This record gives sequence, C-alpha cells and structure tokens, in this order.
Amino acid sequence: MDVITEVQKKIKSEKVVSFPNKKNEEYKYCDVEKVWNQGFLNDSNYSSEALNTLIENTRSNYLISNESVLFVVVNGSLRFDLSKNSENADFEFLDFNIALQKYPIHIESHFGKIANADSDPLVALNTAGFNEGLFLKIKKNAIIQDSITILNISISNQPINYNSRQLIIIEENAELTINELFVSDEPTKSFANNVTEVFVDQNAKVNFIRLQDEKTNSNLFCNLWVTTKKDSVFSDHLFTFSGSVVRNNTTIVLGDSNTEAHLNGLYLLQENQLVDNHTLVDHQMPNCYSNELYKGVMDDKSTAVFNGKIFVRKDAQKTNAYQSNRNILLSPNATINTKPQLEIYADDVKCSHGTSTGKLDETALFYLKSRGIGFENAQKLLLQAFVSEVYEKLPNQEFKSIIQNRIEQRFS
Amino acid sequence: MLSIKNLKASVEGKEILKGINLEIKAGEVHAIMGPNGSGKSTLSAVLSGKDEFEVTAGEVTFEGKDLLEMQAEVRAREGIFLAFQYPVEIPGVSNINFLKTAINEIRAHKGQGSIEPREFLNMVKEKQKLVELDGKLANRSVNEGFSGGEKKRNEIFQMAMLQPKLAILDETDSGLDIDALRIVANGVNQLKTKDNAFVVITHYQRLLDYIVPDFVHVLYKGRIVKSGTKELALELEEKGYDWIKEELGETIA
Repeated sequence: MDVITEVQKKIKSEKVVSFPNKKNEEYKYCDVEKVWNQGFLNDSNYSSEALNTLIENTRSNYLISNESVLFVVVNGSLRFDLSKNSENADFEFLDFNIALQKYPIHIESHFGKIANADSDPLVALNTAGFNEGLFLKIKKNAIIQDSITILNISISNQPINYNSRQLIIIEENAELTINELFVSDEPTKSFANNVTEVFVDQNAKVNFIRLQDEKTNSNLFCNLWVTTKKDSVFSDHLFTFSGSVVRNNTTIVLGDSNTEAHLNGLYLLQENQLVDNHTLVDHQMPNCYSNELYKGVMDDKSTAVFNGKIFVRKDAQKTNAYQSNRNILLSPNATINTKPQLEIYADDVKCSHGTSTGKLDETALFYLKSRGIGFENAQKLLLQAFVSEVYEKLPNQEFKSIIQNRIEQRFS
Repeated sequence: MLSIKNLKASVEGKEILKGINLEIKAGEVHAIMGPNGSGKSTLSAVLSGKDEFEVTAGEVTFEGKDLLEMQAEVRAREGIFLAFQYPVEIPGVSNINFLKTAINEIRAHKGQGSIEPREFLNMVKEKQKLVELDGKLANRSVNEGFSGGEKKRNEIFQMAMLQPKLAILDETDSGLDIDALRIVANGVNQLKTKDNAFVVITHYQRLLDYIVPDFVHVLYKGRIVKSGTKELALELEEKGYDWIKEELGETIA
C-alpha cells in the first residue's frame, strides 16, 4: 500500500473528525460547521462553456499569457487537458498517482509530513477525503524565470464541496515564483478545502503569490504548510479580494538554522464577507528571521480576523521575529478581531509585534480636501497608499501592476 | 473678494472668535498679526472649512457666495487655498498623483476637462523652480522626508500649481530660517497679481519685510482691535503686543 492510502486509512479509522465550530478556540470567529450546514454536494455540474469563459476571464484579469505555464484544477480535479505544462526539464506537474511511480521516495518522505492532521480538523478532513493530488518538484539548482500559475477553480450549478491537495518540493539552490489563483463564477456556491505542503530545501529562494478572488457565494479554506532548510528564503504574499467565508491557516516551520520567512497579507472586505487569517511561524532553530505584515480594509458589515502565532523554541537563539497587523475600518459595522500570540522559550531573541485599527487619518483627509479633492478620491488615495505597502513587496513589477489594477477595480 | 461680517466661532464650547469684521479686495495683501491664543489659527481653520470649529454667528462671503455653506473641498475648488502651518506627511500618496487629482477636480468644478499630461508635467517643472524644489518631488510621497523648510516650500509650490484666488498663509514663517523665508516670500511675491489676494497670518513682523502688506490687522482675544498699513507692523515690532493691551486699557501682569 502506498503511503498516501496508508495515511488516509489511518485517519479514517481513528476518530470521527468533524468541521470546527465556535467551540473550538482556533475557530471561535469562524464557524466552519455553520457554513458546511448550508448544504453542499460531492458532485459538480457545469457546462464547458461556463468553464472556458471563467478561464478566459481569469487569463485577461490576471494577464496570464498563452505561453505561460498554467496548471488548471477544477473542483479539486487535475485538468491536464486544460493546462499548459512545463517544457522546462527543471520542473513538471504530476498527478500523485504518477508521482508515486516516478518519485516514490519523495512522496514517502514528504507527504503528510508537515501538514499535521492532528493539529487541525480541516487538514484531517482534507487528508482523509481528497481524491486527486498535484505534485510539483523543482530540480536542484534550477533558476526558473518562467511564470508558473496554478489556477484553482470552483464551478458548479449546484452547491459543491471538494478537497484539493498539493505537494511541492523545491530542491537545493532552486529559485522560483509560484502564482496560485482561486477563482469561481458568480452562481457557484462552493466549499473548497485546500491543503498545500511545501518543502523548501537548502538555499532555495521561493516566492508564493496567492490571490483569492472567488465570487460572492464561494467559501474557501486554505491550509498552507511550509518547512524550510538552511539558508533558504520563503515569502508568501496572500491577497484576499472576495469570497463569502475565507479561512487561511498558514504555517511556516523554520526547521533549520539561518533561514528566512516573509509573510505578507492584504485583505479587502465588503458586504458580509468574513476573512480569517491564522498564521504560525515556528522558529525551531537558531539565527532565523521572520517578518509578517498583514493589512486589511473592511467596509460595510464585513469581519476580519487575524491571529498571528510566533513560537520561538528553546534552541532558537538569535531569532529575529517581527509581526505587524494594521487595519482600516471604513464603516461602523465593520469588525476586526486581532490577536498576536508569542511563545518564546529561548533567551537571546528579538521579537516584536504590533497591531493598529482605525479610520482613515483625519489630518491627511483634510489636507487632501483643502486642495479640492472630494471625499471619494481622497479616500481612494489614502487607501491605495495604505495597501501599497503590502504589494510593494511583490518580487516583480508585473505582479505589482496586476494587483494594483485589481485593487483599483475594488476601490472604484 | 472676501467679506467677513461679525464672525463668531467656538471650539468645544469655548468661544475663540468674538466678532471678526474684514473686507479683502482683489490685488490686496492683508497681514493678520497677534499674540499666541488670539485666534489666528482658528480664523484660518474656519475659513478653510475645518469641521472641529463651530460658527455661532456672522457671515462670510467669497466672490458673492456664502462661504460657510460650502464644504472644504468646494471652497478649494472655488479658489481658496490654505498654506498650513504644519503640513502633514502622507506616505504612499505621491506628490504628483495628489496634485494631478486636485487640479482635475478643480477643473471639473469649473466645467473643464482633465489636464493634458504634458501640460501638467511642464507646469510642475516650471513651478518647482519658483521655490527651488526641482527634482525633490518626483517619486516622493507628499511631504515625506521633507524638512520643515521644504514642507513650507511645498505649500507654496502647490499654491503655484492650483492658482487660487485667495491664499491664506497660516504662520508660514514659523520654523523657517532666513534662507527658507526668502525663498517662500519670493515665491509668494511672484504669484501676486491684481486678480488674487493674500491673507498672511503671522506672529512676527519679519516676514512682512519680504511680503509687503497693504493692510495690517491686529487680532487680540478673538477680535480685530487695530488696523493700519505696514507701518503698524513696524510699530508692533518696536513696542510689542503689550502696547496693544495697554491701549485697550488692560493691566499688564
């Protein structure tokens, strides 16, 4: 029996895992069970025209050219027929079943090794229930200039639920940027539970750009688990623009000395949206650096949650760990629940955390008005200034422009 | 151009302006001087439309229109400009983007279309020279990293770009050394025409050596207690504000 089947069997035989609800401390602001109880089916039903339209619209909104590597996953199902796989020998997308034959040792030694089914019910449910898994391995020393996009689509005429699973192994010295999009179309009512495990090997430099842009009735649960080896640098840029309920569990394990992690997040909420970002940076070894910047703008009756945990273990001397969460509330009914949690067991560390919540700066607003700028444009200028700090950290100008455009659309 | 009649204003229930009367015609430069706490900043705040101040009596007419009825941004579009005493820094909002947005909103108010990019850039190049800010503005955020003097020069630069009818300079000279003062004053003098007007609010007479006023008014405890020509400013410089208080029959502590 392969390792995947083994792990799945084990979980199913142990206890019954159910969706977390308010009684679970980590989900007290995000009642997943309540969302689940709206009712979702296992089978999807959609027309190929609708799917093609969605893909084309996404390509044009996000400037994905026909030449770029694009891997399409529809409702958790790998669609090689719709994808443009790599022609570059340094990496390729494979189905878990093929990967089990081609790289059995890699799967054996990595699958399920960091995404902890015991620590999170969503991970347990995904691990037990997923059907197809996407495997991506980047070869040692590969410097990838090509743009790589994984397009995760939720689409169905009837309410649908599915699990999607990814395993990404980035070997020694490799460098690349992976763009991961989450989209759906307006009529789709979905419950998508995604688990992605990323292993960053020695001296590799990785940028992860995640854009969550599903429509009004889609619910998205993303569990990203990353572990890094010596001298490597991992950056996650997480943008949440839309969706009904979005819950992100992002865990970075700095499992070796001298590694670096950057977590950047931007969430722009309106109407009744709920976005809950839970992060965990685990400093296990000495001389590591982590920096977290999450910013949000909440309008109407939307709610944001930020819970940022930093663990500094006993051996993690000379740790530098920073965390900042800044929020702007545009309406009296918008809410933010923000909580940093620092657990420090080493004694030679530098850690700081800060959070702020407020309205737009009145002095700045008046200054703009005194020059003839009306409230709408003044607000836009100030909000763009506020959010730019996050997307300025993107690795290249092309991505910055794409995000800038999307933000401009959103603030219009 | 500007007519202030019996203007009274309070903040947090406390009355600061106790009945201001002032007439300003096009082409004139009026200086308003006064000791600390006399109401100078309150006057400029009320004229520019800051929310925190409550007008309890009086009227202000600008070019025949009721100024107090207008929101701050409308006053600016109608042609009023306030050069702030403490200009705020706005990181992330570029100087250029900010100015372009302002110019276009003012033009829209007048029924004009947006400014052509080339015309705008030429204007920026030209007006920057006026206050010796060449090259300092591009790629920078509003007032970010500017020294006190640079911020004040940026105020005059904006004034040059927006071409207001009435400019209120709120203690523009505070915190400036003699060189910065000269640059700012020179900028203002170059912008003076027979069609616009200036209100120069200042504590010290020094600025008025450079920006010569047609009229000088002394503001004391919320009222204009004395008006005169530029000689009045020199007299104040010589005798101090105590002289005014004595004239009013107050005992000097």
